[in-house]
Amino acid sequence: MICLKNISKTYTLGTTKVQALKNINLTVNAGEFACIMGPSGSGKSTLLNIIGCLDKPDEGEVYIDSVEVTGLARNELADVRAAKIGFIFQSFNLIPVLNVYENIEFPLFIKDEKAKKSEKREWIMKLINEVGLQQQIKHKPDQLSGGQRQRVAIARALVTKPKIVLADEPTANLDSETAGAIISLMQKLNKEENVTFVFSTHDPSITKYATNIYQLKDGKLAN
Amino acid sequence: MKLAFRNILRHPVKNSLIGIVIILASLVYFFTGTLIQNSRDSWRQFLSTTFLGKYNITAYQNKEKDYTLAAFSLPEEFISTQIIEYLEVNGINYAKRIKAGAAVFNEETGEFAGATVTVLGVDWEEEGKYLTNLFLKKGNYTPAVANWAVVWEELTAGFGWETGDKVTLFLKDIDGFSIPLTFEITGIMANKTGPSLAGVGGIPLFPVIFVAKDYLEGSLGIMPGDVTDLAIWSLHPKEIYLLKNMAKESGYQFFRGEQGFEVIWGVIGFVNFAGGFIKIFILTILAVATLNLNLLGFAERQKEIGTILAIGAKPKWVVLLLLKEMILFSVLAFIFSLFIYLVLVLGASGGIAVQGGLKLALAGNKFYPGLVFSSVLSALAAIVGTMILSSVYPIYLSTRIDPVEVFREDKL
Repeated sequence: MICLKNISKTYTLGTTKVQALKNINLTVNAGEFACIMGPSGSGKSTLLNIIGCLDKPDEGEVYIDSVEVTGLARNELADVRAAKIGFIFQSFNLIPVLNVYENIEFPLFIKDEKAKKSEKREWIMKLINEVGLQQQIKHKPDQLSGGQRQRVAIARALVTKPKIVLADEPTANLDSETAGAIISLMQKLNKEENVTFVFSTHDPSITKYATNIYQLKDGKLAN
Repeated sequence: MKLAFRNILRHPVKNSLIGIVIILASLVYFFTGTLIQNSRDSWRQFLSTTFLGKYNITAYQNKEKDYTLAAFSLPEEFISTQIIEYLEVNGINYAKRIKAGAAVFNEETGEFAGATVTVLGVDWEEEGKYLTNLFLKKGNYTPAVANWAVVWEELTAGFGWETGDKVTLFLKDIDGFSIPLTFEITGIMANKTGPSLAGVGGIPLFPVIFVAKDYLEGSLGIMPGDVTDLAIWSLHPKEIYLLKNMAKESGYQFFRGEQGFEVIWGVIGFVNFAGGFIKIFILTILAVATLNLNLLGFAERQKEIGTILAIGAKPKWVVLLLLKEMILFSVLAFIFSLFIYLVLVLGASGGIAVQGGLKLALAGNKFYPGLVFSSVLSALAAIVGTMILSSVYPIYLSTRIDPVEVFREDKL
C-alpha cells in the first residue's frame, strides 16, 4: 500500500539545515494499523507529510497504492490526496464556519464527488453514527469538545473512502481517556472499513493498539 | 457557495464597513447616472420645444462642427428632395428652414455690431405647432408684414431693440455676396419654462431671429422649396436610423436637437467629472479596505486554507472559493444598495426641487431620481471589478500556502 525507498529529507529552519529523515525504507501493507513512534523532532511529521504527498523527499522514491508519486506535480499530488488519502490532524483543523455534518461532507465537495445526494447523505450519516456524533450534527466546531472534534476529523478523513488514513499525533491535544477512545475508534474503523491507518505518536501508552510500530529516532527508522 | 456565504458572515463588523462603502459607491453611481439622464431629458425637452426640434438635418458649407452656429455662406447643395419626400410619405413631423448667420449693422453708428446672430427662415404657422415652449412676450408674428421678424428677448435686450424697430442684417446670398436685409421686429419671444440661456459663456446659443422663409428665399436668391435645415420631431428609432443614413449618404450633418449646445454638454461633463472624481475616491477606499481585510483574512485563514489544500483541493479550488466570496459579498451589498436607492426613489417620486447650478443642469425642472440601467451595470462592474482587483494579491498569497509549513508553525 505504502512503500518508501531510501527517503531522505532536509529542511531549513532559519539558517539551520535540519536533516529530518535519513535513508528511510518503509513498507506499510493494506489494512495495517501502523504506528510511527518517536520523540518530538524525530521526523514523524515529516515522514507522514511525505507519505501524505504533502511534501517531497530530497532523495528516494515514494509509492502509494503501487504508483510512484515522487515526481508528480502539485496538482497531481492534490488528486492523489483527494482520491486515496484521508488526514487527521493533531489540532483537528476543522472549518470553523461549518457544522459537524458540513465539515464531514466538505472533502466530497473538493473531490467533486458525483454520487447521488441521497447516497452521500446516507454515507455521511453512517460515519456520524460510527463516530457517535448523532446529537451534535448541527454543532459548529467551537461547540464541541476536543474529543468530539477529533471524531469529526476522523469521519471527515473517511468520507471520501480513502485507502489510507494518516493521523499526525491525533491524540496529542486530548486527555488520556479521550485519547484511548479516539485510537479505539480509529482501530474499529480500520477493521470495519478496511482502511490502512498510519498514525504518529510519542505517547507509548497508545502504541498497544497498533498492528505494527515503526520507531523513529533522529530521522532514522529502527525496527 | 455555502462556505463562501458563511465566510462572509465570519466578520460582521468589518464586512459591514466594507458593505457601507459599497453602498455609498453604488449610490454615487445611481445618482450620477440619474442626474445626467434627468439633465439630458430636461434639456432635450427644453431645446426641442423651444427652437430646435428633436433631430436636425443641416446642409452646411464646409461642414462646420458647431451645429448651433448658422453658416455665413449658404451651402452649394440644399437638402435633397429624397429626404423631404421620405418625411412626407411617412408622415413624420418636420419643419423646413433656411438657417443663416448674419452680421448686425448699426445704422446709427454706421458700424457692424460685434456679435453675429442666427437667422432662421421658417414657416411660422407650421413650425409654431411644435415649438410649444415658445411664447410671444410682446407683439406678434405678422404675416401681413413680409419682412417680419420675431426676436428672442435676450437679443432685444442686448441690442436695445423694440417691437416696431427696423434692423439691418448682412447675410450672404446664393452667390456669396453680402447683402443688407432690413427686417421689422413685430414680436419678441421667450420660453415658457426653463432657464434663460442668456449670458451662458457670453454667447447666445440659440437661433435668435425667426423670419419668413419665403421672404428669405426671395431675398437671398434661393429657389422656392430649397432648405438648408430640417427640424424633425420624430422619436421613432427606425425612422431616425433611416434619416441618419440618408443624411450621411448626402453629406449632411445629422444630430439630436440638443447636440452642440455647450451648456448641456458642459453640465453633463461637469456632473460626469464630479461624479467620476467621487467614484474614483470611493472605489479607492473600497480597494484599500478590501485589500486590508483580505490580507487580514489571509493571515487568519492560513491554517484553514492549508487544511483545504492538504485534503485534496487544488490551488484553483481555493482561488475560486475566495473569488466566490468576493463576488457574492459585492453582489449582496450591491443588491442591498439597490434596495436602499429604490426606497429613496419612491420617497422622492414627486421630484426634488433644486437650486443654483443643479437648476441650470436640469433646465429649471425638478430632479426626479430614477434607475438608469447603464449606471446599474457600470456600478456593478466597477464594484465587483474593484473587489476582485484588490483581492488578487491576497488570493495569490493563499495559493502559495504550503500546508507543511502551516502545520509546522501550528505545532510550534
